[in-house]
Amino acid sequence: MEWSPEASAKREEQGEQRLATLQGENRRLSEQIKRLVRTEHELYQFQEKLDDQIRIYRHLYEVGKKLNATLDLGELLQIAAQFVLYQLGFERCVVLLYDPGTNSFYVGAHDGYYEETIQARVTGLRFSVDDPVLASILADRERVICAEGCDQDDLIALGQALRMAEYIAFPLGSEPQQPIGVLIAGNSVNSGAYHPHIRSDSEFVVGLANLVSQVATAILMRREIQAREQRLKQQAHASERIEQELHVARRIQQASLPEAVPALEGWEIYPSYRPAREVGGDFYDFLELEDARLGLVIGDATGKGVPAALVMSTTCGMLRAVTQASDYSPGEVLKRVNEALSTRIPANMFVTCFYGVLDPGSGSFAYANAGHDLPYVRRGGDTEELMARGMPLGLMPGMLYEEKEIILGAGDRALLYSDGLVEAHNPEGEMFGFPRLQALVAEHAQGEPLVDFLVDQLYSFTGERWEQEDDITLVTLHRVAR
Amino acid sequence: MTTKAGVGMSRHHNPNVAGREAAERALQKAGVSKPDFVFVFGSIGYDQHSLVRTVREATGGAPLTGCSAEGTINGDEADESGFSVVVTTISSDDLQWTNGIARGLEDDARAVGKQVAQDLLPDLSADTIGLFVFPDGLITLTLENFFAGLEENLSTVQFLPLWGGGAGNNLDTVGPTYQYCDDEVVSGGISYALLSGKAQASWAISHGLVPIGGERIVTCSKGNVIYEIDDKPAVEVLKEYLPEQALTEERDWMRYAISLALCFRAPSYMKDEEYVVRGVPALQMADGSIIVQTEVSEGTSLWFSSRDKEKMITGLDRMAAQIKDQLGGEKPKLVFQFECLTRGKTMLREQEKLQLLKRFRQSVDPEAPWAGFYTIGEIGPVEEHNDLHLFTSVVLALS
Repeated sequence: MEWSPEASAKREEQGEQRLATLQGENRRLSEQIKRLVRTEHELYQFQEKLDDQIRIYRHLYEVGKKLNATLDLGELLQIAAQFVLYQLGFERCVVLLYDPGTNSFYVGAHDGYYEETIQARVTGLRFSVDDPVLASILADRERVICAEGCDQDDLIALGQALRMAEYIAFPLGSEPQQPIGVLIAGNSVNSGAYHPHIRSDSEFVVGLANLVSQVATAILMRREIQAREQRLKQQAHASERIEQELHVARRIQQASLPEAVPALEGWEIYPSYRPAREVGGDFYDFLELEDARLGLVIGDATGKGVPAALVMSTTCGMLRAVTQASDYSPGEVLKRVNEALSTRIPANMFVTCFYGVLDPGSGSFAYANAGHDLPYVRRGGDTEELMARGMPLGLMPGMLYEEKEIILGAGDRALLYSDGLVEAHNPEGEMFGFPRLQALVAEHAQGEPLVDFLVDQLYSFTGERWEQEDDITLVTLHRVAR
Repeated sequence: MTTKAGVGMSRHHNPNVAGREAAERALQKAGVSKPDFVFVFGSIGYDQHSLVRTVREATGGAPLTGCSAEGTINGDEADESGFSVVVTTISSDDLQWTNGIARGLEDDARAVGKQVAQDLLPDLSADTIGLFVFPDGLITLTLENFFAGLEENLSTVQFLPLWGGGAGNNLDTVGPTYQYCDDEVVSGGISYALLSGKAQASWAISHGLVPIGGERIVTCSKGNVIYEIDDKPAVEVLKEYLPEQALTEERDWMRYAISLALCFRAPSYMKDEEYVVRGVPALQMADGSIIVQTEVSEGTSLWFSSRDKEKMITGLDRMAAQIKDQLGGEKPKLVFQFECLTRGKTMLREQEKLQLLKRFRQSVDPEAPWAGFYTIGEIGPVEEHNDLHLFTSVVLALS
């Protein structure tokens, strides 16, 4: 291009325009950079706060796990105090716990740097619930702050006692006016810039509130678990006591049962007594009467445990006493025992009892029944019930008892039994029942003793895992065929 | 016997417990019961006298040097909570230590340098390796004078490298920082320890700042005070880079002083960095001037600069390579890291910071005992020039 003044002027003008454009762009870029730098300042400050919050919440999560893993109150409070010191950065932490025994608050835990003499003083602090220094804290459900410049005398006095120039106190527990404790985080007067200053809008308040909630829950949970453990211990203690009572009851019961079976020529007598785990009131007895006769008794006192054992033992004694006093008929015996028992037996208790008198020579078997399950007699291929009416013993005085008599011939068998046999259940909940028993008595073949046969049948019915619910007593009387 | 060194840390808030814990851990790691020499870097939250006394008791009264710190470094661990202490115990037949402390840094730093030089003269020899220095971090304005006073009075032709960092107090410009020497704990001074013997020192330095915006010219200044930049009051120029209402009061500046600094063209001997960083520790709203950590003459070019994570990472990578190169295959027996407080929690997230420290340590030697602290001003030589650095990391490996 050739030089000309016009062309030169034009190039100069274009150059100035480009320069102006570049300068404008430079200014804009410069402003943008400054804006970015300004934003960066804020970002760094925000990031530091955020990082701090994340750190606190991460540790709160860890604290939660630690609190749930211990039932030791000292350890629990120490975990809380360590969090206050090492994560929230306070100089000191004191946890006051309520002692209902003295209606006061004592220092449950404290941590932080104290000189030794001061530490001992803080450890021994105890505040009555009425102590004015606690008035504001106990009146507030959320938190109380004693910051720099606080003019509340009670708060200042508490701070002085705890050696804190500024502090924040959180009642532990949700019950207004009745906190289970108070967690106090604070700093001494010399703490300077190395600990967070106490202000209501401080970042740490939320973290601290969260901690307090976790600690209160952990303490309450611990108390609940301890109460449960206490209850379980009491229950175990009670069970032990009951076990001992049962042992006594068993001894009473066994002492009342005959030690030997009477030997009667031409007769076989088989008793079988299977007590349940829990002592019942079954009994049987053989009473040697005049003229070589034999009294047979089977009975069941209502209830279980020591009361049933005592009633059963008393009844046995009365039966022996009455039969030995005179030659009373079975009905008369039951009547007399009922009279005596009615005045001594506790209300709502009674005794069912079958009493029969056997004359071994003639085979005569006279009997009366005070509400007991009816015995069966098998003769030939038939089974019949030994029916006789009468109210259970001890229910009310003035009762009369029907008397019956049967002659037991050669080969005849009588079965006396308690309700533990007929009321046994199989796993399906079906009851052994009278019809089954009667049928079994009927089908029983000669040879195996009837008692063993019935017990085998019972176990087949109930199954192996059967837990015996009640005493089972069986007595068979068999006139041997000649 | 070879050199045995161990580093122990404690975060316990009670100085009597923390000092003992850290010292016992250091002794255990070193495998010695009584060390020859002890370094202590303790956070400012502690009662400093109690802390030093406890460490002295736990280390059998061994000679001790150290200072208060903005935060501490122990290998991959770093703590800027205000409550941590790092103790280094050293036992060696190959190394000799001479420690001391000098006061009055603020009054006459050059005289203090001279005094330290005179104290050290009897112990200087051909075996002298270098000098650890821990000055009051709030008086780094005069540290160049200290270097001058020291070097003028050392009657040795041999260059004496200085390593260390400024003692901190969590950026509390009013409160004191502390320097330790044996049982003494002072403020406004400088603690030091001369290292002699058979050991090789390998070190590297880098800063993490990048210039922002274009070149600016100092148009009015005197000493270390800049009155005008580009013919505008220096404070007004500074405000261009700050959020609105950032400088309502002079003391507000400290919040920003950790992230905004000045870069000057680096001297020719500084090969690794294009710029040298100088902080602005204070400003004066009344006359619109700013105070800089070096003397600045009118006509000097400067760039405003900001911290940059990438620059920091590449700088650490370079440092690791340089140290490895200097070690020449030797394993370091002890490593010191003097890290500017601006490279800690004020810039990086906690995990990010720890990962960065770990990455660097892995690159140098993951097994070497490693002690350090967060400083206000870092000290380390570049090409036989002892300099005060800012926004930097100074790492020294002894092998």
